[in-house]
Amino acid sequence: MSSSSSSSLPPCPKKMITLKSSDGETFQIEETAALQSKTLENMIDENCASTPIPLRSINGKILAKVVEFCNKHAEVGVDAESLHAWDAEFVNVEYTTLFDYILAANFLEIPTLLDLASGVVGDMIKGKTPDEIRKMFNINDAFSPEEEEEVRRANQWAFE
Amino acid sequence: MASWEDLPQEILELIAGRLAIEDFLAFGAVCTSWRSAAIKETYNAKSKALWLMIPVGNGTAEFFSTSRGRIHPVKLPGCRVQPLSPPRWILASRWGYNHRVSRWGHEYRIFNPLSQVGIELPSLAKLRHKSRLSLLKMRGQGGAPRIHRIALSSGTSSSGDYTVMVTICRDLRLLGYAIHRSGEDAWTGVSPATNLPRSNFLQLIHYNGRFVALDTHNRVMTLDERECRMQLRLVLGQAFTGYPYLVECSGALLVAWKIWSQEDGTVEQVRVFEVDLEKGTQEEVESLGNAALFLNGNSAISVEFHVESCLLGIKPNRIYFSEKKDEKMHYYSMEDGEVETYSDAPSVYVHGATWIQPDF
Repeated sequence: MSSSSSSSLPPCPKKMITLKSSDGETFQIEETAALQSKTLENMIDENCASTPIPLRSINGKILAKVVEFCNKHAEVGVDAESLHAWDAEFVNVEYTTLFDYILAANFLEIPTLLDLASGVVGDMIKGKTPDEIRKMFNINDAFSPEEEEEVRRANQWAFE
Repeated sequence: MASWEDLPQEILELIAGRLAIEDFLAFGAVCTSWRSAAIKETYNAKSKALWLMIPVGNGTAEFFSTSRGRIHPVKLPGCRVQPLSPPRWILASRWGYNHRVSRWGHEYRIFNPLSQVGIELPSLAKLRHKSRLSLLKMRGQGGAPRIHRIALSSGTSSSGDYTVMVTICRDLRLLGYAIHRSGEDAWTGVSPATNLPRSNFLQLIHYNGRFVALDTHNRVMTLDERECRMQLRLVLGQAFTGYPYLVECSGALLVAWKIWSQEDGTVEQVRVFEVDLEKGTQEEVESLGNAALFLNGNSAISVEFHVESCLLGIKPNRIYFSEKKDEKMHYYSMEDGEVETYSDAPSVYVHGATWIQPDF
């Protein structure tokens, strides 16, 4: 688990690649786990993964979590139910963190994480009015007056 | 710092696409960027919604959402409404003077209550190949011709091409069948099947790319669109005391028979048969699997259930219908063969209510 004890060699060396976050932190991830990211897979295929890969849009805190996610989903012998529970716990986070997960999953092209995180957003929207959704996600700049009118006309009946 | 309204378009579409219809609409009313992601091409909810349409007069209907338990009032382009196949459209009609044909008559419009798209149908007086209809009755005295059964080709969107098929009646007597293609301002008469008399359709739906009808003599027919003629496919052998429905369910064509009790005429059973149009055969169905059927006065719809489905008190492998006698909604369970009362719909609304499936 911990990446700090790099002095002792693991008994069976696995192919590792190194990721570098926007704030300069580095993370080791097994190649097999990294393959869940289409972006990383392409880099591995093109032999661009021998040096640390800089990920300028992802900070260390989020990258650590994303690496954790990939590791968990690369584990063998995890039954679907416990993975489901683990996933639910993983995305049980602040809105801002969830937002960062989505952007990271999109940038790294990790469909499982993207699906999971966007599914949570969908669940949060469920049953809410547009106003409530705006408040929840802190969206201020909604519509121009013309759009506002159009939206009102097209949708008003649905939210009365 | 980036914010939720700046999420990439493809992510917004991913989020919106899976929302149930009401949440999808709410999503599109949040802000400009979210609105651009919540367009009908994106809507891809696994579990389709199910609404009860309750006409309340004055050209308005209330739509009771079974997933929310909420009621949405919608203004309709007409005071008489009936559901049609496919169930996301309804037929709205009103009485009016048509200047183009200088005649009073029923004006018809097909209408999508969700997208609020309405398509005006030509006046029934504009008819080509009248010889294919019962001419004497057409000219005769009596009320104005009206649409009795109607179905729409499923490719219909606000822009795409479509065909509408109808049966036309006057004073409840059949005049004939006709089709109307988008872009034409007239109806084209349709001949009955070779060597068969003109018969009233109990059911008319669009299934698997063609119009399928079931008439009062248990004949299942399809429309040959090129010849504008009906084609006999099979004759259902049963002699049930009841009423049949044609409905597509999980890709199959079903005939569901509402069977009335000998004693009091209430529905005591529903029997379901799968029809093979190519082979001209049918076979009884013991279970609907994860689907449920909803029988309206003269049309039916099916809903498939998924893990995410959440419809008030509605369960798969059941057939829902309203009972004339007590004016309540009931269901027949395919599993145990019992008829029970469906109590989650406000009973006051059940009379005259029909099921529709809101979709774009």
